[in-house]
Amino acid sequence: MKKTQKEMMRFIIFGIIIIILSQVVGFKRSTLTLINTVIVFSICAVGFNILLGYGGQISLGHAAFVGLGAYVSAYMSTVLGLPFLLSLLIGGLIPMIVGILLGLIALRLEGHYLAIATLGFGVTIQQIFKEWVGFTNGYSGMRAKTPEIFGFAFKSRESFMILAIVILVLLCIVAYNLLRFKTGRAFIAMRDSEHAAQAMGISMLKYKLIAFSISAFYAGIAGGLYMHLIKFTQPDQWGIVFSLNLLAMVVIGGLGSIWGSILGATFITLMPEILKELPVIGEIRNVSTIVTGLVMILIIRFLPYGLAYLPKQLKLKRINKRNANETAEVKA
Amino acid sequence: MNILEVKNLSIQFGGLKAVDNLSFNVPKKSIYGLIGPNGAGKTTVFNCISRFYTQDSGEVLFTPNEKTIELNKYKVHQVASLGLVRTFQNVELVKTMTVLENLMIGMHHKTKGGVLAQCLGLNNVLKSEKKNRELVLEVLETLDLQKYAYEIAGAQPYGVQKRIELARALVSHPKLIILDEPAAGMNHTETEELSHLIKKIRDVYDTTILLVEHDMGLVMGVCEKLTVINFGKKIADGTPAQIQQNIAVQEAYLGKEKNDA
Amino acid sequence: MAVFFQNLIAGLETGSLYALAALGLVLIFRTSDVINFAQGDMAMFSTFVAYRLMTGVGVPYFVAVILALIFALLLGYSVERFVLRPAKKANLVGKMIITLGLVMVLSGTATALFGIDTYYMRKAVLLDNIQIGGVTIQPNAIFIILFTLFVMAVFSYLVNRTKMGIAIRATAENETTAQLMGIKVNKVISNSWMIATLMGALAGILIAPVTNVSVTMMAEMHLKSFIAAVVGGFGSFVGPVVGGFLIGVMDNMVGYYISLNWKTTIVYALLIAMLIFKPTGLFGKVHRKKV
Repeated sequence: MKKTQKEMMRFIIFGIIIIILSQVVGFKRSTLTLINTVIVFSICAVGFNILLGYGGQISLGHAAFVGLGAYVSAYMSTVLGLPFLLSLLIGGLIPMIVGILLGLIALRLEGHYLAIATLGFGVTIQQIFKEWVGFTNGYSGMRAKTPEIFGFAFKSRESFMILAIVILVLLCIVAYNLLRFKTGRAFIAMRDSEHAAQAMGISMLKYKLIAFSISAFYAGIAGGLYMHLIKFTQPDQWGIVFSLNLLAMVVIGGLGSIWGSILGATFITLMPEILKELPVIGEIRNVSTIVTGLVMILIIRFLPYGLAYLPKQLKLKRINKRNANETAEVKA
Repeated sequence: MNILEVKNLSIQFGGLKAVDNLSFNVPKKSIYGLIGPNGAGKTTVFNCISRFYTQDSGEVLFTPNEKTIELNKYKVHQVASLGLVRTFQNVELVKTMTVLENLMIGMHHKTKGGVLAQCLGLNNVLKSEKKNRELVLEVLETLDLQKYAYEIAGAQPYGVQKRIELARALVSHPKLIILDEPAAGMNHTETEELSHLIKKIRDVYDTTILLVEHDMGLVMGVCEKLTVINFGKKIADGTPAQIQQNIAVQEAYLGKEKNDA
Repeated sequence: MAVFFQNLIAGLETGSLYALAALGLVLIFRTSDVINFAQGDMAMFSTFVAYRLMTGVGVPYFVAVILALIFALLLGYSVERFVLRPAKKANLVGKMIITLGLVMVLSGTATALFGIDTYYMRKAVLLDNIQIGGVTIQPNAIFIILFTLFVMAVFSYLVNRTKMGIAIRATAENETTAQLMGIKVNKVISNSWMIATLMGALAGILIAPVTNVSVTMMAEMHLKSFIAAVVGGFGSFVGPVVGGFLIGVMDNMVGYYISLNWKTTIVYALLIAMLIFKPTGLFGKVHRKKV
């Protein structure tokens, strides 16, 4: 029990540190926007990791859920004038319901068929964003107003950061709880040994639905937050490029790791900015896409569980080396 | 009193009849064996009973308590909560998790708390986890596996993994345990230990054991009654002593004797 | 009536190209157990090579096409040899992620090299349209249909009547057994990738007049070829061909008679229906999963 309380404290402390840093250090506005983006995408990545890293279900159209969250929450808060938190919540619930629908289809599909189906799903939803001008305003784009809770308007980047971090920490704790109890175990069993899972009473249908709906909820919340940060969106943002970046976040950061998701989101968001500053490489168009793709391939090849697993892998190497040395000593 | 009644079970794959009109009964609290040469259809029978396959015809009746249940009406993941648990021929543990966590999966259908309760870490969830953890550690002790509790399951030697899988089947105290080739890959000593273990489990946990095996040593030593099948059909029924005398069984395993004269 | 026939021919035209692309996908899948999500981008790259040779260097069309096809062979070989083969032991999801990473590398590199503009590429056959009974027929369309049928016939001959074909089919059935039978499985997989990339490049070059040459030119066709492969079934080489023609005709008919904007969605809905009711495809066999 103590171990789990420590884990939860780690999330809270992390959040507090970020908040303090942002208040104390005089970050530029653009840097603050960047940090806020990292926080929001972390939420998305944590949810996606639950689906892919724990549940082993691949989804190549997840951008659809994020975009859905963005549009729905903006519609609720800005067009209908509902309170911000309620709009955000609905922006999470609607994608969640759609996620259940996707999960119902997923039940029958394995691996690559599921990937293709989710790919088509993403394309279709993006098409709906483009065509349903009455709801999304199409390419003219949709706007959102400043988020407000009980009259306090989160106008500044610093105040938005507090809002975003609190939500991130809460959702991390929720994810952590879900994963350390029977649902987490069921997910891993579903991923690694379907037959054993079923023989032990785990329903594939139920847990695939849970995995899809939860990851869709997180994606929707992230989309809603993002929308109220940038305050503008249009359909091109929610296509295959975003879905692939989301996949990259989780693969590079660490499959099956909440911290890995945050790490991956940081990497994917910050890397283009860093690359832009470099002398020769920064000139190349779309260099960040190339680098992301390369890193993904290298990670699968050399560090299949992602960067978050690196300390464990190094420790294992040290243990193996020590064992080899001991055996050599014994032999000598 | 029979805990399991298989009646006229038939299933075919493509043109091949894997199980052909098979019937047998497993008495409560017995240690029952289903044996036969390689490819006889034994695992297929188990897959039908545990609902991984749906048979083409015939029925399987399960009576864990007072009521008799027609297993065909249930889905594969519902079987465990009825009181019927199986193991797999090729050990199907979750290799990346610890032994303890693997066994907790065995308790899945007895663990309380819905998704929302788990997200919030409510008290009933915490209590259920704690109680199940203790029950699991007890089972580990009974099977002499407690020292592996926090080790990674996939890193253990094969023989230990087979015992872990057995432990996982036990944790929920099922009424009927089906063991699919429990002695596969074991040497003589390990098989002897397994014999003792199976008897101990049946006595301590008050359960019925149905096993599929083609290691004759284990079967003759531990089973009280047997059904022998070949090419999906039953060829004999009886106690180990009776089966050993049965000519049809001998032919099935050893082939017909050639007359040289 | 005339309009219907025109749509039908247009459907067969794009359908034949979907069939070609889908065939390549299925070939790679059956021999190396990988869904090559990068197929579309590899085709796009090869098409750009043809385009640049024609406009930048001034090479005549057919020579440029041949050179681009050679490039495609090399590209397919390199990707298999240097990216996929070292990662052979990765699981299903891992290999998918690798080809998705390739998508990013290829599309990023293409944008860096070729920019984000669209360019015009000529048709293969430049003859004027002919009129038969009120129906306008493009010779290019007929050429495409016949040519792709020819390519698929050659492929079919290769697979069914040559030694290499037997090797391909054996590897597709069971790689380990094929190896035990003395088949150089790595060579088979390498050849499969080269053939598939070649087919993809052909599809790209032939569809370029319609979609124009750009970094995103293959996006829609790529998705449709997936749908074609699923509808036809990944388990055979006939399935994707039939699936391709089916999807092509459906796509055109739906686009004309129902809605141009929603045609991809409607075809996708067919995919979903297929996956729900017959996941193994029209020509797939139903297997009882072994436990």
